[in-house]
Amino acid sequence: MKNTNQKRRIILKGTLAAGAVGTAMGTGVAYTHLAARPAWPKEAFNASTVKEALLKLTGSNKVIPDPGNIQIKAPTVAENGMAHITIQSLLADTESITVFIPNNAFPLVAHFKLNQKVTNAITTRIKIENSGEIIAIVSASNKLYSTTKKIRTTVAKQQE
Amino acid sequence: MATKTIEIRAKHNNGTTTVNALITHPMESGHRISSKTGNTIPPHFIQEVTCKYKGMTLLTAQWGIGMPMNPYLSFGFEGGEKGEHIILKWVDNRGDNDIAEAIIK
Repeated sequence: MKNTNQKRRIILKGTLAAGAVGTAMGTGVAYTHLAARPAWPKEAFNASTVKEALLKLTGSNKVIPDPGNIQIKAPTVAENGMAHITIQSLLADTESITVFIPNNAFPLVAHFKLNQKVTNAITTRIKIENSGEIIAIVSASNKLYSTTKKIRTTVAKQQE
Repeated sequence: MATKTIEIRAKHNNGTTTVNALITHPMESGHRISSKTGNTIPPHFIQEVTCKYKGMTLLTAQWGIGMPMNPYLSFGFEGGEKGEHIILKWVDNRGDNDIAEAIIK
């Protein structure tokens, strides 16, 4: 009898521990036990300036402008505050592509980590709250390269 | 999630495979105010999308609230053959997730 009780205790403890881990994952706090999956960089996404977000995301904010090797394809006007964009990097060993909209309340929009096999181009749709710029930052060989493109926006209608 | 949220297609052409994905998701920023109740609508958005091919991670995307409702993503990669599988998975800030598989055409 004592034995079964002890087993039950162990099982209970196990479930509790699993529960705690689950909660931690839900809030995006502790991904450390899962080495394969890096944490969602909360601080970078909550930053209100591009420099701060970049520093939190990559640990550096030294950016080399390189409009020749990075191309942003985007319309000149983002209708309803939305734009379809393509970012292409011609830099060898591109590791990641990051999209910033400095005039958004939270400038960091998306961060794409690419495998070597990926053709270094990403197409996606983003929200553009105010007219301004799109900044694309590419990390290649441990350095950051950037390019910008101007974009005008028409006011987004609030849904509902 | 009960309903299918990912629409994914992969097409092989001339040595490269193009992956197109459309995810059905509200992507709620947490800053909008409901016109009915006057309360802020709680945030609900996708934080991470991963795309795998043959167990290898091709792409990891980390998204913030600057991504719109029903986000779209497209990229290409070298290699891939007809009949092989591509897996796409997303996780949002509530811990909800979905996974879908496409066969390269």
